Amino acid sequence: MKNRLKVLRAERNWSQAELAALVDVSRQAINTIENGKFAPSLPLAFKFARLFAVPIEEIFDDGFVEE
Amino acid sequence: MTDLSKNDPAEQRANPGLTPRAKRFRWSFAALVGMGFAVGWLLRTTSYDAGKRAAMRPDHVEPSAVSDIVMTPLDNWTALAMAALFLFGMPLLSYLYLHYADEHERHANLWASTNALYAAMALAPAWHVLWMGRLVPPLNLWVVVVVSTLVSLVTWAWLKFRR
Repeated sequence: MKNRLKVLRAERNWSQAELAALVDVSRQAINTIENGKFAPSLPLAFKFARLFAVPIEEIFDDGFVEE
Repeated sequence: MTDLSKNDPAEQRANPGLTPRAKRFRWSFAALVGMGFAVGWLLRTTSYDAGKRAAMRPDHVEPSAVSDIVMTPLDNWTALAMAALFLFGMPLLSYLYLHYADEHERHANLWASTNALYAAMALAPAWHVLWMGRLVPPLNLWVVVVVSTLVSLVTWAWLKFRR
């Protein structure tokens, strides 16, 4: 799943470890999420959305296009 | 749900460190590793009793450092203590480990466990029927345990650390 986590994190000048601590997961979890290797759960996606103060769909993109 | 208003990035930078969950997770992981070392130390210490070494080794098992360690008679209390560690200590610590793990760790761990189970379920019957066909020696349970553990470790490391 594509996402803008890396961009949002870079805009705030946070390291992966800092973001990991803010949402209470490991740094490896942030790394695999940013690279699209691991899809976070809905509660974790909400945590990201609240932290960056944006809707979930502005962070994560499942590729769905409405016809 | 976690109150993120308490997670101030500036404060986080000023006080870098692990969250309470991460600390508990590391302690439970360390306890699991510690239990492994305790069992290994007990086995190693006991197996150095030269008079007992490998006394229980079946004829078809070749002498080796491993067979010397795992096929040595234990005194009753040592055997009971180690059995208690395996029966109660490992499940309890594994529960705590998974309870305090984050979802990424849990995902890796559950896939690792699943693949290890599949490896054991495939290897054991395959080996057994090959033995029935007189093609291989009798099934060695410990080889199955070691192979499934390795499968588990490789799966876990791949899912946890891939980039």
